[in-house]
Amino acid sequence: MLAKLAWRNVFRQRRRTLLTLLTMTGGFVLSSVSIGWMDGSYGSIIMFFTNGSTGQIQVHGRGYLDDPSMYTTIDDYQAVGTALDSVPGVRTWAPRIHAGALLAVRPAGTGAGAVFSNSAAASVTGIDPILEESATGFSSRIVEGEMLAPSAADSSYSAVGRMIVGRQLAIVLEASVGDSLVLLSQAADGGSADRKYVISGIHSTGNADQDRSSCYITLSDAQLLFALEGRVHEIAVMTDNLGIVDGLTDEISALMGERDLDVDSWKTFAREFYNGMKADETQLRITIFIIVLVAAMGVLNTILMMVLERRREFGVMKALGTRPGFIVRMIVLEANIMGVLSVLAGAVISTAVLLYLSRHGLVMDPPIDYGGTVFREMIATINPACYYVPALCVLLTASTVSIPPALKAAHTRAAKTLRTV
Amino acid sequence: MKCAACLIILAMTGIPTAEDTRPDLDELVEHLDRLYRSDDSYSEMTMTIETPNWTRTLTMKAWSRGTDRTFIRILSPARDAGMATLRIDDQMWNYLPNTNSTVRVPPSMMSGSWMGSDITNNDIVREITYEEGYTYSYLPDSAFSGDIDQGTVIIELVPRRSTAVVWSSIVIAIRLDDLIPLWERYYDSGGDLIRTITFSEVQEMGGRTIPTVMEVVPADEEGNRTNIRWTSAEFDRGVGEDTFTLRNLQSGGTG
Repeated sequence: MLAKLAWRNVFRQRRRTLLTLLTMTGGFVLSSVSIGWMDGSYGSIIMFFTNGSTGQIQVHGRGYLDDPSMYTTIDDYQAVGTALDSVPGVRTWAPRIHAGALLAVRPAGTGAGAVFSNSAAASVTGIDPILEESATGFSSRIVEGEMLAPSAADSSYSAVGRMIVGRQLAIVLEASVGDSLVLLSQAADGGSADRKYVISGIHSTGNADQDRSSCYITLSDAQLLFALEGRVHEIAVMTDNLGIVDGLTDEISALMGERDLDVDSWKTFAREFYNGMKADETQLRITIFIIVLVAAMGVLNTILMMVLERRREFGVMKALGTRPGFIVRMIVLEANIMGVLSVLAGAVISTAVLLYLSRHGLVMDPPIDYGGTVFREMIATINPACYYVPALCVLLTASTVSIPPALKAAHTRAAKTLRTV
Repeated sequence: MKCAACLIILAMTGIPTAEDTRPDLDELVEHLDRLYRSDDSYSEMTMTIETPNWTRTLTMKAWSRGTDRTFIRILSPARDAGMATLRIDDQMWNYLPNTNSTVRVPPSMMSGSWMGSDITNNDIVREITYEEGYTYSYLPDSAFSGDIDQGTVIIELVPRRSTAVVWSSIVIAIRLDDLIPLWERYYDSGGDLIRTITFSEVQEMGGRTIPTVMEVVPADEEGNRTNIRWTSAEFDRGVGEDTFTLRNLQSGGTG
């Protein structure tokens, strides 16, 4: 009886119902698209950032992240890598060596025997050209010259090595592809580590600070130069699914078992980036809250209007002996019926919009620079949160917001309303 | 009451005697400045670097002229033999025999380690004397919490505003007998110890009485220490200007 009455009431005044439905559906679609957009763009920023350099998970010797010492190494990195290959969800991995060094170049126009007087401090990364390429697509960021390849320097200390330098570092050194430079550092056994290199390529991550101090040599070269045979400082682990990173981190950590190693997710080793993301996310959540609030106000408004318009109707009901409780329940039910209809309609529209945005994205022009990483396109994602959060909001709003006007309607004094309205 | 008066008198008579034995502060600081410095010098030394991960010993020859020129050539071990450092004023170059190249040390690396030791490039380049670059004062024994041997005085040096150093005070203990420094402690602006330099094995060398062993212990790196032992030294015997040239640096020779 109650449901039937409420259902009929909904369709009695089509235009009024349509208005309420529009407000609710609009609120649902706005919230839903915002959430999909937010999760999608953060997901793509995080994947872009981690895929380009750090990986989503990293393995280090115990304590390396807090105190990056040359002596804190992964001693059997090949075995660790083989173990990683067997973990489902791990796409690939890349071993690295990190060390600080002095780089120096002869000024242009000076001949052999001249002082290497253009010098700069740099952080050297030893990379496995094949593994690094499959993990981070390293060569796609080489703006000039070519990718590192195995050379004589991988096995002979006195051979000339090949090096890729960061774009800004090349500017500081006033060097270009084909120039030779000298690297001076200290090996893990305390001896000096010095070697001549030819610049084979210029690398640009888009982060000027990073490119001002970074250079890359092959892993074998670095192991020989720094007396770290068979050892690495870091293994970057790549996965395609950001959602499984936390679980995967625990799984790998358990797999490492006896080894004295730390396994961390990007939330730990890229803490600043993560915190920046978190702060931004909070901001967006507040924005979504405001959108939902505005939608709720709209719903309140239409229901209030509806109740006012139907005062006469309620007066008649009261005069016929309807209990106030019945009227309250009826109005709340009406609001909820409209809520459910809006959620259904909104879900269809949101899915269409999100599907479009997840395929095409919005091209950022000019591109935005987030912590040194440049993004050209923002892509949305579709996940359960895009539906249940706005659905909950709409239904909760419909129920709560309709109660005060319902109470007002219930307390309509039959005689007075019938006389005046 | 009487006792208190006695104590005061005792104290009053005590202080002047202690101060009588203190040398003039300006003269003392000048003496410290001159201890290892001279118009020119030639020395041979052994440097032992200890870290938790490795220990190595280098032998080297060093020449200096005035306060602004230094030349050091590494003799052993074989892997580093022939490496050399030349410093003129505040500029510094390293010669690397392995790649036959001479590399200028950029300003950003001046606070870095020299040859992997606990001595920084800045320590080698440093040409400011205590007298010019610092204000100094005697520290009363009571003001110093460390252990103090009998017959020593403690002075504190505070860098002048124009002196660019990473520490904010140096405390030096000096033996009164022969005015030989026993140790130097470097403190940062928070009053935390940065490093300690201990001097020992006072001997006559090259006509001077000097501590022939110097040990540098950084406070923030546990297990690290660098020990420098002079095996011979000559002062004011005449070192040619051509020692301090890039040509000599690149010659790979030892002269």
